[in-house]
Amino acid sequence: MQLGAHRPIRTAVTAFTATLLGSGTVAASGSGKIDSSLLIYSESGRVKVAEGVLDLSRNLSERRSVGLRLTLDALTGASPNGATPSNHIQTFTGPSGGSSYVVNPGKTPLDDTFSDQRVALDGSLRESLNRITFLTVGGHLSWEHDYSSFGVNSGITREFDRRNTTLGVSAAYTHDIVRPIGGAPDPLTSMPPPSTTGEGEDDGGEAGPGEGKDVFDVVAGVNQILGRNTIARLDYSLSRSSGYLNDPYKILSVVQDQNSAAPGEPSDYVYERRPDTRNKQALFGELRRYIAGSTLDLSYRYFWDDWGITSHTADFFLRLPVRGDHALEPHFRWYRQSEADFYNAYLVGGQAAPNYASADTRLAAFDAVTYGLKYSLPVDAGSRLSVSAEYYKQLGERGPPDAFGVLRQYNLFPGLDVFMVRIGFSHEL
Amino acid sequence: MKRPTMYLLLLLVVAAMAVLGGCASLGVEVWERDVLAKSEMQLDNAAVDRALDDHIYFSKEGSSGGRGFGGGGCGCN
Amino acid sequence: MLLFSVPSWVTRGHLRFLIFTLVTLAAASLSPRAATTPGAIAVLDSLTGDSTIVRGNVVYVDFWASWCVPCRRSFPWMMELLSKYQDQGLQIVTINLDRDRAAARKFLDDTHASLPIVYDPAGKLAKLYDLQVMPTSFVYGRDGTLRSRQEGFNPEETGSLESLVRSLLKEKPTK
Repeated sequence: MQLGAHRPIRTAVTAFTATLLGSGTVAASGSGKIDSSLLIYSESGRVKVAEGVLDLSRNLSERRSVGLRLTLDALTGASPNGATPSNHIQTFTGPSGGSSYVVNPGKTPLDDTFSDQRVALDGSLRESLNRITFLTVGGHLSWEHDYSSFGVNSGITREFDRRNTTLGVSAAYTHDIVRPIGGAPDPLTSMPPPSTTGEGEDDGGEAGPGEGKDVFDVVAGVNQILGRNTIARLDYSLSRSSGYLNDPYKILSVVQDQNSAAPGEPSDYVYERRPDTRNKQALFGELRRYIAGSTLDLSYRYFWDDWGITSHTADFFLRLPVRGDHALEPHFRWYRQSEADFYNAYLVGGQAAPNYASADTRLAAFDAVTYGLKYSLPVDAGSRLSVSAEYYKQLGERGPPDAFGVLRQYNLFPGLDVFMVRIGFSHEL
Repeated sequence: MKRPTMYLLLLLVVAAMAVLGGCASLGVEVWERDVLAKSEMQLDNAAVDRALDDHIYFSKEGSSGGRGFGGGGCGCN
Repeated sequence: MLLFSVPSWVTRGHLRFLIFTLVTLAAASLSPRAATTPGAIAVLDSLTGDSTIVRGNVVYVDFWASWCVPCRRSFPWMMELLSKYQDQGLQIVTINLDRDRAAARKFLDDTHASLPIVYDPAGKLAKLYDLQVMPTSFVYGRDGTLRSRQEGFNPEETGSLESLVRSLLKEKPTK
């Protein structure tokens, strides 16, 4: 599940595999570790999420270790449905067709008819084939009301040159089944008019017949120790998805053209349509350096895909030791993405319909920044408690140059203001 | 792919090769890994945090992927 | 200059890697692995000065550091081994490679370790012994020849190490 309107999301399976592919860390840490975290995520005026993760890893012998991760989350709140604001009241049909919701004039249309829960389970087994070669295999399962996913993954790493260089490759296959409430709508067809049963909560709606999606991921990378205080890595990742990639709950406004009586006012709403394949690639580099007791971590990722999106992500982490084995960790992240080829904030009536179109701001051009601060301290032998607060903001094109009519009055990029708090607890077994 | 992007990519690949090619001069002896053995120097030391981050940013942005696996550490056993 | 044409995709990095590989292979062929590992107690003796290695003993040499978790795990076992076989002529010498002496001392205090220690913070002995992993231990027979090189410490393999020590102790002491 994703932290917003219900859209199919594949959880990062490879991130968990990566944990266990990390050579030496599990074996070196005694018989195992428990790591847990609770995240409270709150978008101002919109989605609120509580997510908990429990991560267990255990060394079964010098050669073998297992890992299990349980993730639970609960989501509630409203998120933009893709339509543009209007001078008039707008009424939208809820996903099951049996309810509707109303948006006041001048407001960004938000769909607040959902709340959902998700459970995910990841398991992994890591084996050392010899002192410098490690093999990992893992599986993933997740369920939520309208979405389920299962996957398998495997990876191998090998070390060279006095274990200063580590080369690794991993692959994952995931199959997702989306069962949109009310069934998957016909893309680029009009949203049916709301029925007369009025407004209401929709989470009792029946999930319709399923649509499938296959995702295949490969990650290859190298880690290199550069000196007594420095380690660096470079990773290349490739992801191919095929199947149902639309967001069944997102629409686009079809607005009246410039010559009409009410230019920019919506005359219709259509469901979005995305291609049924997507190829993503990314190149990621990271440098971590120990400097007089503090630790600095800088990373950069360049991403590109065949939907026309390219992005830059730069991350800065600093760990400052505080007396008594406490630590203060400021964090800053900068992100910039370009828009997908078929991203349209709205469609104009009378113009030829494009092959693909989506008004999902996730595919728009925007910048984002995150500011965070984390404080951690030891509690008892082998346990550590941490608290962190973060602020995330997205800034996009509020007034596209080609906006006309009433659209010029409104902010067409809903933006995002998110506050997050995390509490973490870890314990070495 | 656009031209400048291709050059950037090529630069990164060449840099990677230079890193690997210059292997003999990089790296440390097995007994010089005291700092690298510290938990804060493990590339995967905040796995749960990074997993939560990945989930958040995957939900709100159009990109994904990147981070691979860990390495380094004390190199023991 | 070149006898063949280099394809356009070959970069400087490729050539550096190739040169590195050739040089390494040449170096490896000139200095066989066995020669880098001291085969005689005499070498250890001359370098460690403050350890007294008794001729005719079975000597167990162990390289360790406080930041190495398997090294820490090996200490209780080594102390037990010493208490069992010291009377029969077993001698254990541990070589500490901590750059920070205080860290080594803290570990020794915490574990109440009582094994003979030689401090080698600059890693000179480690380099001489061509250490490939931490910890590494060497077992010398009563005749001073190297009998075993154990890389890493695995509690599951201590049994066979102990049998080796026992069989070496059974050998007649050299005059």
